[in-house]
Parts: sequence; structure tokens; C-alpha cells
Amino acid sequence: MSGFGSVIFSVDFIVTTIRVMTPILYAALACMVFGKGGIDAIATEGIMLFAALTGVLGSYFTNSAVIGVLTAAATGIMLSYLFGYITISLRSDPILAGIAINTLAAGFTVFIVYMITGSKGSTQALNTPVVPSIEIPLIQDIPFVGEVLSGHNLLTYIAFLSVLGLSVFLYKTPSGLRIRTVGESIDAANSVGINVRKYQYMTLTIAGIMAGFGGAFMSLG
Amino acid sequence: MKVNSLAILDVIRVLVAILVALAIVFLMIFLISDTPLEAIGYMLMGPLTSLRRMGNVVEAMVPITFTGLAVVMLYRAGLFNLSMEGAFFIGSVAATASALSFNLPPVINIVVACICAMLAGGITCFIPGFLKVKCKANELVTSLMLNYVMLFLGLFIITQFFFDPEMNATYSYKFPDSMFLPRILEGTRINIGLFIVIGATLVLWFILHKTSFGYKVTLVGSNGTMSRYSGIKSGAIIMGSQFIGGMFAGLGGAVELFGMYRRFQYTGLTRYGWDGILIAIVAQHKAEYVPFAALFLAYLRTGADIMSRNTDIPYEIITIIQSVIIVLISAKVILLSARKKLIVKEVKRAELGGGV
Repeated sequence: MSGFGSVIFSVDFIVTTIRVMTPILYAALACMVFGKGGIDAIATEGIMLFAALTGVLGSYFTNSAVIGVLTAAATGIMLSYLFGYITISLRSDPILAGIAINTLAAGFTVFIVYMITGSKGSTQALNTPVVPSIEIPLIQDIPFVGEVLSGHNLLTYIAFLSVLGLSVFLYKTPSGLRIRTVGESIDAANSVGINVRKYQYMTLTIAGIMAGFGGAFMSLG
Repeated sequence: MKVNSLAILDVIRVLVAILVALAIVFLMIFLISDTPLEAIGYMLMGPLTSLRRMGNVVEAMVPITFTGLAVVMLYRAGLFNLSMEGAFFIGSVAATASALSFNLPPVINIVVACICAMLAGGITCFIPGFLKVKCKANELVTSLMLNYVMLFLGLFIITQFFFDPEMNATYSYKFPDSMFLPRILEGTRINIGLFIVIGATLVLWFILHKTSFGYKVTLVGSNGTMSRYSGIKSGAIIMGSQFIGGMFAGLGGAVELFGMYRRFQYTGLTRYGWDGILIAIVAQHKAEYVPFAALFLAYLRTGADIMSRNTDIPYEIITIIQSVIIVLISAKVILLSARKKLIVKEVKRAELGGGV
């Protein structure tokens, strides 16, 4: 048992856990926002996969990791809108639409990778700049705590800040309240004069950005 | 008459969706490929060029027909149960376990293995239905998660008890020779699984159209409140329908395993379950159309495979067709006004004719 304990409380273990946790946290945040906005979140998987790919491509073609991340976030928003258009405007079943987007992502990303690199496996052939790690001043000098808290990827810190930001946004701002109202009951929101479509697309935007960041972390982090 | 013209409209919807999807893909091929006409030719006509390729179509059709039938049954009760993926997988695991554990005479051993697979698949799909009825748990979430439970449970069973150390991968021991489904056509791998799948289709059609259980399932799925008021035990009906649906998926796992493989060699989920959803949608959730929808998908797949081996277009372009078809068929807005007009017209005609 002592071996087990020393593994769990080692710095490497905690740092690795936080790294592995980051994309899951982004995915969960995206699903949470979808859920609060009353939109089924099946498509998150496909959105993240697409964002991971476009993140690499954006980073490769502009030679800038920041633009790569922004490309991924933009992809997330676009696909999220596509999903919203299919479910809200075309009134397709959200579960089926999600399955459609996930199917498309699973194949189409491989398709694009094959078209660009000539291999189906990965984008290893593309030499891309990655998102830098951040050393936090002062904190990094504290023993143990500094090693655990400092030196993570920039996107990991953004993920944790997003948790804070989203909880404030959803529970302390009028827009957040309206998003949750629309999510609970579209009819009720309509009856008090909330522009339902606007807040649904706001939900899609935020969730898309979260999924996009998650995808970017998987490929650029 | 009313039913007929609405049904024709639904067929038109499906055909439009398929044609639009194909048009999008052909456009992409024209934009990307150096030899677009050749690529399209391979995709559309490739499967017909040799007996072996036609065989490939039928082989690919068998497992997805089973999952398509499973989806038709699962969704008939109005539940979005996605566990046919796990049911198919655990069905083939159960078949493996039965084939390697029991020492039974020929034919009986295959039957026993198939029954084990059906039970395993049935139990898998029963769990989300049970949780839905008893605990009001969202069947979508429980069934999606259950797929992973079944994947790792299955892999655990295979690696723990039936793992063949002489192979370099996580394969099971070889099945006894009597376990293989006999081939029925020389030069292809088409086996009697084809007859089993046709039989399964007939059984499902019979259950849905000729038994009171099938009628009750349809009623529960289309209007749960009304069926409750009319005294149907909707909970039992839902759980029963999920169990039967899972049995089709599990049987599919066994038939695919004994027809195409000599050992258990899956290392991940097969994705046949997701294909089943597409097939069920294209087949308009009618058992009798499922084999044709499966044949269509299998034909497209085989064609895309031949195309990818002969030209510069990768196989994955097929997923574009799949997703566009799903979206266009499930989109309620498309042809909605035509549908409304048709309903109004039919009702008026019925009124004039004094039929109703």
C-alpha cells in the first residue's frame, strides 16, 4: 500500500491527472452549457474531433499556436451552429442529428487528414507549433504546490478559469438566467418576451467555444 | 388511400435524401479527384463487377441488418436506447464463451451459442429499459455508458478465460470446426447467416404486425398516456420490447462471429449499432424494409472501398453520405407543407366520400 500511496501523492501523478483531465473538463463544460440551454449534447464528441483537426491545420498553415486555437474555437462555433440549425430550424431529432455529426466527424476528419498528409493515421507529418506551458511567478517557487500548480498548458488554466467564468455567467447575469429559462421551458421564455432563438444561439456559441478549446488541447496541448 | 399516399411521400423523402447525399459526394469527388468519373464509376458499379465483390456486399449486409432490426424494435416503444452497439459486442462474446466452454454435438452447439448470444444481448438492452421504467433514468445516457461497460466486460471475459497465448493479439482460442456457419456460394464468404437474417426479419415483422405484443409496443411508443389509460402495462411492454430488440443485436453478434471469423478478435466496439440507426431511419422503422436499407448501405460501403483502392479518394467519404441522409430524413421541415396539404386533401376526400 505504501507504493500505491507514494504513486498517488507524487507530483508526476497529480500533474498528469490534471493534464488528462483538461479535455474532459472542456467537454463537460460544453455539455453543461448545452444542457442548461436545453439542447441535447450528443454532438460534442464530433465537434471536439473536428476542432482538434482544424486546430492543427490552422496552427500549421499560419505557424502560430494562438491562431490554431482560435481556428479550433471558430470550428467549434460553426459546427455547434450547424447542429443548432439542424435541430432548431430543420427540426430534426437532436439525437439523430448528434449521431449524424459524430459519424461525419469520425470519417470526414480522417478524409481531410488523408487529403493533406497522405496518411490516415495522424497529422504527425505536419510540424506545428503547440500551445505553450505557463510558469506562474511566485507560486512556482513553492515546493510541491508550485510543481503541481505551475507549469501547465495555457489551455488548462483557461479551462479552470472557464469553470469560474461560466458559473458566474450562468447564475449571476441576466443573459445566464435567460439561457437557463430557455433551457427549462421554451414556452415560458417566449411568454415573458425572451428572444428564444437569440439565447439558443448564445448557448450554441459558448458550448461551441468550450468544445473547440477541448479539441485544440487534444491536438495542440 | 390516405395511408398509401402518405407512405409514398415518405418514400420520396428517403429517395430525395439519398440523391442529395450522393450529389454532394459526387460534387466533392469532382472537386478533389484527378479522375472523378472513374472514381464515381468504381463507387456505383464496382460491387457488380465480380462475384467476390457481390459477395462482399451481402457479407457486409448481414450484421447491419441485425442491428437495424434491433433498432426498429428498440425504438418502437419510444425509447432512444443506443445499447445495441454493446448488445452486438456482448452477443459475440457470449457466443465465443459458449462455443469454447460447452462440448456439444454439431448444429446443437451453434444453436446453444446463438441462444446465449441472444440472452446476453437481450439483457444488455433490457438494462436501460428497466432503469427507465423503474428509476426514470434517461435511457440515452445509461445506454451510451452501458456500451463501454459491455465493451470492457467482454474484453475482460475474453482475455481472462479464452485468451490464446500463441497469438500476438488479444484473440480467443480457435472455435471447433463444427461451429462455422457453412458457406453457400463458392468463391464468396456468403454463409447461412443470410438465411438466419431473413428469418429474423420475418420474425420481427410477425411480432410487430401479427401479435398483440407488437401492437401494444407500437401503441406505447406512439402514445404512452393513452396506452396507460387503456390498461396496458406499459412498463412491462417497454422492458419486453427492449429485451427482444437486444436479442436481435446479440444474435447478429453470434452470426457475424461464426460466419466470418475463426476466433474472437474484436478489440473495440464494432460501430454496427450506429449503422443500425441509419438503416432503421432509411427503412422508416419498418422491419420488412430493413434488409433493403442494409443492402443499400452495404453496397455503398463496398463501392466506396473499391473506389478507395483504385483511385485517390479515401473510403471515409462514405460518412458524408451517411450523415447527410440521417439529417435529411429526420428533418421534419422538409416536405412538411406537402405533407400537410396531402393530409388535408385526404381528409376532405374522406369527408366527401362519407367514408369516415
